[in-house]
Amino acid sequence: MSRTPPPSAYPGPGRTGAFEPETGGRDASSAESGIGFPGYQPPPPGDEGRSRRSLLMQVIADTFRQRGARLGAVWVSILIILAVFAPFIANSRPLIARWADGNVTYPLLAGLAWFDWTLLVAFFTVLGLLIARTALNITLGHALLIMIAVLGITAPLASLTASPPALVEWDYWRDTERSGELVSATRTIVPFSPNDALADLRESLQRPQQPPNEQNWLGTTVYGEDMLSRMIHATRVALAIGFIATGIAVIIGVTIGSIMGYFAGWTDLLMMRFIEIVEVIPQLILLIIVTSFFGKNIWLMMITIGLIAWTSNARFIRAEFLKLRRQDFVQACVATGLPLRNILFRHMLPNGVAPVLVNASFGIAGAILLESVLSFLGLGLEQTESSWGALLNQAREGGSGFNWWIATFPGLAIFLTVFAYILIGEAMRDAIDPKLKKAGE
Amino acid sequence: MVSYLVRRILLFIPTILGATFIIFMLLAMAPQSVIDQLLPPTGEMQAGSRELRMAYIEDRYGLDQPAPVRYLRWINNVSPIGFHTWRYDEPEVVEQRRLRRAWREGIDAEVRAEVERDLADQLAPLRAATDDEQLAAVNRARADQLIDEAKRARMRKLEADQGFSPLPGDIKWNKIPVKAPDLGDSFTKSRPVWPLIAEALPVTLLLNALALPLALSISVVTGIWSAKHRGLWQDWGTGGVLLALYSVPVIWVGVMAIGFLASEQFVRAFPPAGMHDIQADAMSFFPSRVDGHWQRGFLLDTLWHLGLPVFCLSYVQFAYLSKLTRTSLLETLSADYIRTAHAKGLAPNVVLLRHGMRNSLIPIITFLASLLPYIVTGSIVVEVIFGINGMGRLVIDALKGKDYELFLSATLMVLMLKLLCYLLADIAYVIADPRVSFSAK
Amino acid sequence: MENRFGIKDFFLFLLLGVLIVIVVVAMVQFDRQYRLVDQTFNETRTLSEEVNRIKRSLAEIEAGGIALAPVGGGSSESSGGGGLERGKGRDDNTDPFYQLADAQRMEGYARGDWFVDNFGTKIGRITPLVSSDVYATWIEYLVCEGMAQRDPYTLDFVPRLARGWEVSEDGLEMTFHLRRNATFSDGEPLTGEDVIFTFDWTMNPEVQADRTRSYLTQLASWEKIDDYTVKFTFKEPYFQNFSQVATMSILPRHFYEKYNPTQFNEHVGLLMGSGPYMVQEGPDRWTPGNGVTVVRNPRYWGEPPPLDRIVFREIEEETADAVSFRNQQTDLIRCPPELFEKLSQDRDVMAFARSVKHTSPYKGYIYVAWNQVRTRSGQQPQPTFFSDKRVRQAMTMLLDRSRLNEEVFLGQYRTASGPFDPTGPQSHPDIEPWPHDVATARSLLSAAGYSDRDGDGIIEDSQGRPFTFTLTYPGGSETWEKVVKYMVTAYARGGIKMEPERLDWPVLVTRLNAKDFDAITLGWSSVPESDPYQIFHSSQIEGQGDNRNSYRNPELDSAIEEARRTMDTQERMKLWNRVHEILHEDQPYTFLFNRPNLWLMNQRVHNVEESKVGLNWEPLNPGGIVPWYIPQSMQKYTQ
Repeated sequence: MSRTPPPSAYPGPGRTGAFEPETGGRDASSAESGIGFPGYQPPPPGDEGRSRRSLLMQVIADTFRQRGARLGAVWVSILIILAVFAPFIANSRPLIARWADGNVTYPLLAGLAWFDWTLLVAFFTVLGLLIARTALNITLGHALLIMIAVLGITAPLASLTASPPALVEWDYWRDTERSGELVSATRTIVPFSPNDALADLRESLQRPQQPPNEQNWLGTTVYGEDMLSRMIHATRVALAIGFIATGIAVIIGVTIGSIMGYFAGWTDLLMMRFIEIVEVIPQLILLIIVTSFFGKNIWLMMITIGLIAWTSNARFIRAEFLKLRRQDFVQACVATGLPLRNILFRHMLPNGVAPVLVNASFGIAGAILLESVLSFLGLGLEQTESSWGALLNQAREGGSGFNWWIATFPGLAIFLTVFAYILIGEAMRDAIDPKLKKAGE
Repeated sequence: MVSYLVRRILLFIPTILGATFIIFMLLAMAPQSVIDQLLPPTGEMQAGSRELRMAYIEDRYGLDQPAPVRYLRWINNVSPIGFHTWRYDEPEVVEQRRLRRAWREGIDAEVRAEVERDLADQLAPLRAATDDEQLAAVNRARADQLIDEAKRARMRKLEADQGFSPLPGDIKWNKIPVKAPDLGDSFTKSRPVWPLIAEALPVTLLLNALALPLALSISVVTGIWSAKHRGLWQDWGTGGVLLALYSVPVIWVGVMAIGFLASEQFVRAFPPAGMHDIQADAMSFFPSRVDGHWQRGFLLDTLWHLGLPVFCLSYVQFAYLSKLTRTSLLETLSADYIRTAHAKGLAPNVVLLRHGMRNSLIPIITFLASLLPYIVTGSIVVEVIFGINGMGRLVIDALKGKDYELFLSATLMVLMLKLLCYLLADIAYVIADPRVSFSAK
Repeated sequence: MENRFGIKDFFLFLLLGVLIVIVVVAMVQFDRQYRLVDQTFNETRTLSEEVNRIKRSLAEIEAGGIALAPVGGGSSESSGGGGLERGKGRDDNTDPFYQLADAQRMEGYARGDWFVDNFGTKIGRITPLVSSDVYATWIEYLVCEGMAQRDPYTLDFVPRLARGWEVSEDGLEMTFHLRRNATFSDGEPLTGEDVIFTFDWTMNPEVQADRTRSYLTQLASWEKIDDYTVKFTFKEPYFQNFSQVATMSILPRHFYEKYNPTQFNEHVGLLMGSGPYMVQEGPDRWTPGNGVTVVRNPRYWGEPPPLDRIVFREIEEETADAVSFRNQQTDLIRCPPELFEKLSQDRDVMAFARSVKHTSPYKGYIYVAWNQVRTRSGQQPQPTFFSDKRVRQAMTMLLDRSRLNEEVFLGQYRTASGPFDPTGPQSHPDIEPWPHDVATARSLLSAAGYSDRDGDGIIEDSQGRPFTFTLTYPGGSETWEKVVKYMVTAYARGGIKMEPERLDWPVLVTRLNAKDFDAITLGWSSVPESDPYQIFHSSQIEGQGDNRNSYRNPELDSAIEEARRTMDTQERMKLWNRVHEILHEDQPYTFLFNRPNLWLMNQRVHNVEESKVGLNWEPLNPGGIVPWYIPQSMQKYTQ
C-alpha cells in the first residue's frame, strides 16, 4: 500500500514532493494509490488520552534507537559545539596575554561580541535544562519560558557591555609577540581568526593559498585565511540557516495547513491554489532574486527560505487534519465549545505533526544545501562571513589552478551535515512508519 | 480523464498569473532602477543627452508606468490572446515621440521655473552663498540633479494631458486580440528573448534527456541487486552508500570532477567547460580519420563534453531511484501472487524479474514523471559549473545582469515547463497505474 | 490488466526513444551540412565577383585609363610627438602598410591561417558608435578605417584612407585629401560623401553615439570640397582635435543610409567598412552568442594582411580560457597575475608558448578616489575627512603599495604615481610614488587634527568624530576583495577604521553619479596621450563630468586648460608634467597601479613585437595593422 515518499524539501533534482492531482480527490487517491505521504495512521482516539507528548517522544526515541540517526545526531552535536565555541577554538586573539610590563590581559574575552555571549549563555541554559529535566521535572513549556527569560536578559545585557575592539588588527598579537612586548600568550587550538589574512606569516610573493601544512592544518583560502578557522566559524551559518529557516517554514506550514485541513471546503481550495503558486516558483530562482536585489543578508536569506519552503509542511498537516477532523475526539472538542486555537494546536496537531518532523529534518538539509548553492554562485553572504558554499566557490574561481584543499574540505562538511540530517530524517520516517520498517528488515 | 485534464490546464492560468505576479512585484520592489543599468557607466554624455536617453529608455521599456501597469502590459505581450500594441519603432510612434520631444523642449524653461519654485526649500541651502568654491560646485551639481528628477516627473504628468498617441505600449484597439506571444528583448544581450530561449532550452533538455535514462537504467539494476540480497550486508551497504550519494551536494561533485578529472594537474580525461570543442564545427559528424589522424567527430565530441555534467545531474536521481526500486520491489515481492509463483516452483530469478520487477516499474515511472518539473532548476548549478549555456545559465545570467525582460520571459518558460511536466506526471500515473482514476467518485 | 506497464512496454518505449534520438541527430547533421554549403556558396560568390573586378581593372589599365593613386605628400606636423624617434628605421612614413612589407621580408613568412583570440566576455553588439562594449571597438578597427592611423612605433599619425592633409596655423582648420582607390568591402568606392555622412550620422542626436559625440564637441563644421577632399573646422584649438577626426572610422553611406536612427540604435550587428577584414556573417547578419570572426576582405584596396581570419571567442571562465590555450585552441591568453605566473612556469605550456608581458598605455591605472564632498541621499552635501590634502597624502602613505602588489598581483604590477602612462612623455620623469611611511602618515594626520582622544584605537578629529570611512568597490572580482581586505588592515594600523562596501555595478554607478560615497576604488583605461580634463578639472564636478570626488585646484585647472590649447608637443608635455606634479602633491586619488598586459602567445604566431602602443598590433589603436603571421609549417586551420 504505502510506498516511500520522496523527501520533499530537498532542492535540486532529487526534490520531488509528489504533486497532488486534485484537491478534492487527493485524499482518496493518496490513500489508495499511495502517492503522497505514507499511510501514517494516527493512533486510535483512545490513545489520545494517554499523553500527547509521549507520542512525539516515542517517535523521537524510536528514531534515535537506530544507528544512522545516532550517527547523524553525533555529527550535528559536534557542529553545535563548534558553532557555540567557535571563538574559543579558532581565534587570532590569545586567551591570556602576559605583557613585558607585567600586565596580564584577556584579549579573547574582550573581543567577544554580544552575539557570542548570548550564544554561550543559551547553550549552557539548554544544557542545564537537559540535565536537570528529570530531576526537577521540567516540562517543555517551562523550559521554553526559562529559555526566553534567559535570552531576554542576556542579549540586551551583552550588547550593552560587550565592546569588542572597533579596529581589527589580527596580526597585532603576533607582531607584539615577535617584538617581545608580549612575553607569552596562551592561544586557542587554531590560533587564527576566520578573517585574518595572515599576511605577516607569508613571504612576500608567496601565494595566499597554501596547501595543508603544520601551521594551517587544512591549508589557507585564496585570501590567505586559515581554512580550518573559517570552516569552524561557518558552522554557525550552516546551523542557523538550517534551524531558523526550517523553523519558519514549519510554523507557517503548520498554521496554514491546519487551517486548510480543519475548514476544508472553499478555504482549502483557495489556499491550495496559493500553495500551488508558491510551489511552482523555483526556490533557487526566488532566493537569487531576493539576495541579488535586496542585499546579501543572512537573516533575509533565512526568512526567504522559510517563506518558500513551508508548502510541503502545509500539505502534510492538511492531509492529516482532513482525516482527523472527522474523528470522534475532534467532534467532541468542537461540541464542548473549546476555542479553535485549542482544538487545532492542542488536540489535533500532536496527532498530525509527526510527518512534519520528518519533513523538517529533510528541510534543514535542503536549507543548508540552498545556502551553499547560493554562496557558491556568489550570491550568498558577504566575504567577511564564513560559509562553506562560498569557500567551495573559491575552488572554482581563480586562475591559480585547482586548489584541491579548498574544494575538498568545505564540500565534505556540507556533505556530512546534509547526510546527517537525511539519516535522522530517514530514521524518523521509519520510526513513524512501522510497516515500512518491517518491509526493510 | 479528458475533462480532468482540461480543468487542470485551466487551473494553470491562475497559477501562472500568480507566480509571475509575485516575481514581477519582487523585481519592481528592488531598490535599483533599470535605467541606471542601461545608461553608459562612465557618463560620457553631452549635456541634455542624458535626459533624451532616459526618455528613450523609458519609452522603449515602458518604465515610466507604475509596476502593476507594467505587469499587465508584460502579461499582455507574452500572452497569445491579448491586445496588439504599438512598438517603439513603428513610424507613427517615432513621429509621436518626435513631436513630444519638440513639445518638451518648448516647455522646458517653463517647467524648470515651476520646479524650481516647488523645490525652493530644498534648493535654498544648496544655493546659499559660500566662499568654498568646491562646496559650491557640488551644491550646484546636487541642485541640478534634484531639478532634473523633479522635472522628469513633472513632464510626465503634463504629457498625459497632451495626449500624444500612439506611444509605445499603447493598445491597437482595431485589431483582433489574438497574436504571436512577444517575449520582449534582452537588453544585456541586445536581441529578442525568444531566440535566446530557443537556443538554451534544447541544451537543457538534451542534458536531462541523457541524464534521466542513465539514472533510470543504473538504478533499476542496483535496485534489483540490492533487493535480491535483501537483509544481507550487500543490501545494507548499498542502502547506506545510496543515501550518502543522495546527500552529496552537486556543487561539490562538480567542482571536484572538474578539479580532478578535467585538469592538467591531476587527470585530464574530460574537457572542463562548454558543450563543444572550438573546432567542433569543422569536424565530421561521426568519428573518422582525417589526414591519418583519429578525429572524434561532432557527436562524440559533444558526448565527451557532456560526460561530467550528465554524471552530476544523474547521480542524485540515480541514488534516489535505486532506493525506490528496491523498496517497491520488496513490497511487490511480499504480495501473495509472488508467494504463489514461488510455490509453483518458478526459479527465483524468474519470479524476481518477470513478476516482481514488472509490477515495481509503476512507481518508478510515476516517480520519474514527478522528477520532470525539476529539470530546469536542477540543472542550473550544473550548467553554471560546467559553463553550459542552457536555461539555467540563461536565468542566472539574466538575474546577474539585471536583465528584467529576459529574466521574466525565461522564468515564464521555466514555469510553463514545470506545469507541463506536472501534467505529464499526472498522465503517467494514470497510464502506469490503472488503479488511479481522476474521475469523480 | 491490459493497461499494465510491463517490461516489454518498457523496451518498446526505449526503442522508440532511440529512434527519436537518431532522427534528431540526423537532423542536426543535416543542418550542419547546410550551413557549411551556405558558407561555401557565399565565399565562392565573393571570389567570382572579385575576379570580375580584377578583370575589369586589368582591362582599364590596358586601356590606360587609370592612374595609380599617388601616395605620399602632405603629412604636416599636425599632431603626435614630432620629436619622438621612430622604432623602425624607415624614412618613408607615408606607407601605412610598411609593417606588412617588413613582415613579408621575414624568414618563414606565409599568408594564411587563423589567429584565435578570446574576448573573455560576452559581446552583445558590434554596431559602431552605439556599442558600449570595448571589444566592439576591436572589431570596428579591423573592419573600418579612419583617414589616418597612429603608427605604433612613433605614435605619429600616418595617412590611411587619406593621402595627406593640411592643418592651418591656428589648428582650427584641417583639410584631408582622400585616396582615390579605396573601396568598401562590397566594392563601392569610398569618397568624401562617406566621410561627410559619417560625421552627419555621428552628430545626429537621434543616434545614440553620445560617447563619440562627447569627443567631438570642438568640431564646428565638416564639408566636402570635392569628391576626394573634406574640410573640418573647429571651435577652439585642442590637441586631440586632429586625432579624433582623423581616426574616426569612415562608414559607407550607401549601406547605413538604409536604416533610420532607431533601427541603427537597436541593431546588433551592422558593421561594414573599408578595412582589411570583414565580419564573417556579413555586414548586417552578425548575432551575438558565438563570438566574432572576421575574415580577410578579398577586395581590400590596400596591402592584404597575412592572417586569413581572426577569431574572437567568448570564453568567460578563467580556467576554461587557460585550458583552451593549453590545448592550443586559442593562440593568446590574457592572464591575471596568478595565472600568468603559473602558466609561464609550466614547462608543457612554455614548450609551445612564449610570454608576452608588455605595457600598453591603453591599459590605464587603478586607483582609490577620495571623495571630498559627500552628498548623502536627501541631505546637504558635506565635506568629508578627505577634503584636507594632508589626510589624502597620509592615506596614500599608509598603504604599502609594493607589498600589496606582491600580495595580490605577485609583483607584476607597477606602482603608479599619476594618471599618465609612466613610460610616456606625459609623466614627469622625476616623480616617484609616495613611499610607504606610517610614521609620516601619522604625523600628517595629527597635524591635520586627528588623534586618538578616547583610547579606543581609532583617531578622532577635534570634535570627537572617529575617523571611519566606507570604501566602495565593485563586486564580483576576487582581486578587489583581496585589495580591500589588505586596505582594511593597512588603515587599521593608522588608527582609521575602513568599512568595505561591495556594490553591484549598476548601484555603484548610481551612487557614483550622486557623489554618495566616501572613497571608491576603480580603474580608468587610457590612451597614449590622455587628457585629464574630464577627470580632474573642477568644471567636471557638475553635469556629467567624471570628477565624481569633487576635487578642485585652480592651479591645476589652468594648467590643464593651457595644455589642451597648446599644439606644440614639447610645450604641451611640459605642461602635462606640471599637471602630474600637482596631482602627485594633491593626491585626489591614491594612484594604485599601472597594469601591464600579462599575455602568453602561441609560438606559432610570428612577428609579435612590443611597440609604444602595446604590441605592434594593439586592437585598441585606431587603424592598427595586423602584421602577425604564421609560418607555413605551423598553420593548422585550413578552409
